[in-house]
Amino acid sequence: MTSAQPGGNGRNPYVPYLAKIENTLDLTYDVRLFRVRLIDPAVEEAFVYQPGQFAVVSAFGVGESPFDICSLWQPGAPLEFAIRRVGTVTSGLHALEPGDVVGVRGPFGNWFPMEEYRGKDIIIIGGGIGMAPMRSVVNWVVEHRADYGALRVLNGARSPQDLVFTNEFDLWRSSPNSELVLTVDRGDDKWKDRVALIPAVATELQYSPANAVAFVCGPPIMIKFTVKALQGLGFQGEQIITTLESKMKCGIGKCGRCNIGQSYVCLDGPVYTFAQATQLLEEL
Amino acid sequence: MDIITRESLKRWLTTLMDRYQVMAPVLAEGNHLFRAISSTDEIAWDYYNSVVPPKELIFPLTESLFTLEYQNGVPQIQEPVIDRQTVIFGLRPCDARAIAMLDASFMNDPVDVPYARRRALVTLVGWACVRPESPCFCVNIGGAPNGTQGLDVLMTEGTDGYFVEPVTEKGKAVLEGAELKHTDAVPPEPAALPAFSTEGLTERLPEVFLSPMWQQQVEACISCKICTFLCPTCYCFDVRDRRDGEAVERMRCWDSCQGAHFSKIAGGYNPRATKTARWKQFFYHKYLYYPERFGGVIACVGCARCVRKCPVNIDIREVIQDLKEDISA
Repeated sequence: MTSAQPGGNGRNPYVPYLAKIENTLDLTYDVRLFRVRLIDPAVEEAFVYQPGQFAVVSAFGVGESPFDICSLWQPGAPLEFAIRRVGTVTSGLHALEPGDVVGVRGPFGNWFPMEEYRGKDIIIIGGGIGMAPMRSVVNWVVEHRADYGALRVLNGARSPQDLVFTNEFDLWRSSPNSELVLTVDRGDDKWKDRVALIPAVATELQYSPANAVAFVCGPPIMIKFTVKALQGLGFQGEQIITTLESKMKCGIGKCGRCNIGQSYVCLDGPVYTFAQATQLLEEL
Repeated sequence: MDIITRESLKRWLTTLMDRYQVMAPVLAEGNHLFRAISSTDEIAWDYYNSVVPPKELIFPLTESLFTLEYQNGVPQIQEPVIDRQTVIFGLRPCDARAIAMLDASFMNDPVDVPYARRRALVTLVGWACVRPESPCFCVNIGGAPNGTQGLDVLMTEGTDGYFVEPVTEKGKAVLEGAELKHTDAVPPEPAALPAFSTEGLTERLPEVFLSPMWQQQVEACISCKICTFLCPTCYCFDVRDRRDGEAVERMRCWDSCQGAHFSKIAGGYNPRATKTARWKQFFYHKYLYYPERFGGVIACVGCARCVRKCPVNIDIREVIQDLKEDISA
């Protein structure tokens, strides 16, 4: 379930396409949304991707790292990456300005098989920057609203200042038959919403597994306990979809870093059902 | 079979140097290593095996993936030119077999283009091991001291010269012009190596993943990574940028799953934070994950570099034995 890259066979997969930062939007104090446009129109046309796929983005001279493409593919639309400043490459990217050139390799990896889930209730649970891949699922359902049942989003973060995509909350809430629940680990004076850990909220909300599929993405510990909560509500392993976070370098299953068991997260993932992920995590 | 005298062999290699870069084992600063030669006098004819496997000639320790420079503010990417026809002369059958294993990963779709470019230009002329010694264990892991897998030509030293066995069309082509003579003699049989069985190992590994023996085995390990650095089938790498003013060079270099930071992600989460977890990754990748992915072939050729060079005497043959005892217990 991987897609062909622009340029096709024979092209050196380590050579990035050049892309220009069109604009940026600070989502939090340390997460910035980058909108980048591939410079070569032929590459841009061929760069078709699905929700959940990722690209490897370069800050030239600093290095490159993998990031979920959190926009939905549309002809002529820029690629969007929500990048948290946490390491060397992300700091290098945050130092760039609109108009600067970055490198993009991809699209890589598998994706959320949204077509398979038509007619189902969609539960989306994202923790912190784990909301980035979840954002494309939310927006997919919002765009194809008639194809799905209820849309129930649970977005959590350490603090109110760590919530991402707050500018899209109204759009998500106003979609028919949709719910958005927010929670933080630690509130502040202005915070009126929940102060609770995501797994506890998931249990409290009593998500029904009947004809539903749940997407979970966030830090490993959050995934672990959220999945337990969902299982407590009766969700089966195949009903829970997650993405595995892994160190990656090459993006094409060669460099060995993301190898877990016989799977290469960059090639065979990053999207796994929890049933698949459980098997893999036993190999760690 | 054909045979070539030592003198004719030297003449043939000298002629090849017009068309090819010839790499051969030489003695460099006290170590046997593969290096480009300009005279056959440089060849270490009596070498046993190179300290660093000849995979470094196809998958270099460090290589440039591209350079980027700005021209009038516009970045221009330049890929390195890889166009040198090369003969690797004198490599051992285990190391040729290891290259075939690297091929399976690097040439698998999506193709690793820098590797594929180099690989296409290389002809492998191997030397059989006539006197293999313990701790070598190729015979116990699917290979042979006179195996031909991965080679284009196999040569075996005899009393009157070298027996020459072309293996591939590429091998036949490179031998054109060599003064070969037909002989009714047969190449000498390699000396026997101590026997132990690796049969059923891959099948049994899933059952022992949680065994305490893994921790016991690596207690002495100092994470020096030499086992992976010298392993002819290891192919993990790192990718990094080097900057000189405005010019950028993206490099890749060998890396090791035995390093504490290998799988650590930005933000600090490390899925393999213990030595035991990393040691299991090394062993399971070679003996289970690689075979599962690439047609059942164990990614170990029994060259025993890891056994010879481990500073704390961890012996992979003993690990295999432990495992079998642990399984039967």
